[in-house]
Amino acid sequence: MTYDEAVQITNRLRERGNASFSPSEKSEIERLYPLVLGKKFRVTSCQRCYHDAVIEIALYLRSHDTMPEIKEKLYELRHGFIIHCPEFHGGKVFSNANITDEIAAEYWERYPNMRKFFDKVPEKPVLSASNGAKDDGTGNVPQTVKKPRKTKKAKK
Amino acid sequence: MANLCNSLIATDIQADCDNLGIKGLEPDGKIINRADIDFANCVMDNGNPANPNIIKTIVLKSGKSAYDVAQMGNTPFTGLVSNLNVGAYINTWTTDIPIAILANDPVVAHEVIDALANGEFVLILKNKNRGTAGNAKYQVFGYAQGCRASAGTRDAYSEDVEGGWLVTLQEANHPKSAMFLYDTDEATTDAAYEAL
Repeated sequence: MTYDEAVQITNRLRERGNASFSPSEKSEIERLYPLVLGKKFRVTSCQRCYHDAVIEIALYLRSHDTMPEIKEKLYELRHGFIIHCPEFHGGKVFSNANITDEIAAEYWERYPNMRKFFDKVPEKPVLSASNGAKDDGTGNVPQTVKKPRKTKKAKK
Repeated sequence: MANLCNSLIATDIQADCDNLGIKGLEPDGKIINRADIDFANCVMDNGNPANPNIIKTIVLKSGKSAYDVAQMGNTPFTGLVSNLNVGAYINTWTTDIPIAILANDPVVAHEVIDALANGEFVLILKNKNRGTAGNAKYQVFGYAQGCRASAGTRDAYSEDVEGGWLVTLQEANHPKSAMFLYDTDEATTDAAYEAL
């Protein structure tokens, strides 16, 4: 979806004022919300949640000239689980809110017994922070993990 | 001697002048379907000495998440009360947690009210009294027995809930007076709570 399309949809939705949204308009908001704000829209028992979502979207679009580059996370931790280990990045606390794919990949490699706490992992492992990816500068990058072997190309 | 599970006081009962209690709750918390909790991987406090009233980690099953619960007004979750049950052999506690739902439409009726009426839940609410280093901030209800609806009303002309619903969740006969979510310090516990 382009920036102009998002603005057009948002303006149309805002014209509804305080009137209730139709089911198709609600679906439109549920689709637009993650595209613009990068987070899943959650329906609540509050009657105003769709109107509030439209305002959030409109405010973002007004203060930015382009659609955000939202990169889907390849790794996700299970809800409630946080990484808080003194030997890992100096004890910095990581959760889904702040973990990068590189940090998650590093944790996945170093602690196989903790893999059960991942909700989502990619089919091909990401290059972890300790294997050459840049760290975010917040912790010590351990050097204990070996670089993955290069796979030979199959002969034809 | 046989183990009689004697309950022994282990500290003085007196006011902590530097950390006096503060009544009340913050307006927001989290509610979790109890079936979504991965109890096998939840961690109780393992400090020295360990406190059995502290849960260090609450992990949910794969793909599951907690839901926000927010209450408006000056006294959110007003009516939250714990009472002692004197039993024939052992005493327990029963806690009531009223939740006002200021709405009444098909989505709310189906996804909130009907679910609250028949489901079993764990709630994590924020005490205004944060205790020492935040160890009393997050109180957990329903971890032992689960919270189930014990009362529910909808008064179409109610000025309190504006035609919405009032549902009381109850954790009956829980053995521990109070359970808290706490890991290391307040900032870490905040992260654990938000991760739910």
